[in-house]
Amino acid sequence: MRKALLLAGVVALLLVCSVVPALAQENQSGEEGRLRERLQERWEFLQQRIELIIARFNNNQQRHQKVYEQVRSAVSEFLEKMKAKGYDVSKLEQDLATWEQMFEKFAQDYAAFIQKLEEIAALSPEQAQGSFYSLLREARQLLRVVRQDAMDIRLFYQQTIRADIQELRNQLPESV
Amino acid sequence: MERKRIRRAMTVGMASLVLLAFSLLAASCSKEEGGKEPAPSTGEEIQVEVGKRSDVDSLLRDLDQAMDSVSPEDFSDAQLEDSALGL
Repeated sequence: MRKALLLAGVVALLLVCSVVPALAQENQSGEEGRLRERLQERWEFLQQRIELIIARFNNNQQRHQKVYEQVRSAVSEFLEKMKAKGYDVSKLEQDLATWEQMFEKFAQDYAAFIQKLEEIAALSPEQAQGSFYSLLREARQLLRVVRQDAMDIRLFYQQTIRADIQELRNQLPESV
Repeated sequence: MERKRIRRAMTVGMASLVLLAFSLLAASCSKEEGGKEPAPSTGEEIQVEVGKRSDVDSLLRDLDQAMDSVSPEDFSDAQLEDSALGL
């Protein structure tokens, strides 16, 4: 009788020992699943924000490009007309070429910046865990370059192109 | 009698609310319109005449307006800050 009781006790102990870890493991995997799901949701939200930011930047870039093309074309037309009238436009010609290079630099730097943002948006949640912040740092650095390009273009207009046009204007007669 | 008075008060209240909503809507629309004045020449070709000084003055005005219609701040750091990303 005692033997049977002892045996039953051992069997019960073995059962408890095997069931408890199994239950704990099940609980743990359930928690991991929920965590993964939350991570996925959070990443999808972040991806949507990045795509929205890309759209906003693209809109700004298109406005800038449009204006740059508009002013470049007007200055070029002014230059040609003044040249046809026999004025010395060599200084403006040279500065316009420098300005055009600035427009090109702006376009190239902007493309590199947007490519970086698109690279971030295309990450999987697992990849994002490892490289999101380092890529974001790079994107921020590239954005600073784009902003500086836009500032350089603006300053070059104000300090150089405008002064060149003003200089040629002063050579024109007051009225015809 | 009492019910009539309540109904009239409710009608007046509703009408006031509708008027308030319309005035708020109108105020927000006019604010939006006045927010950022677009350059008159944006998107169009700038006219270039070189007959006399006033022609070039006019050209410079158009160029200034076009250049002022865009800002380097369109690419400010703030747009990629943690708060902008919702982090």
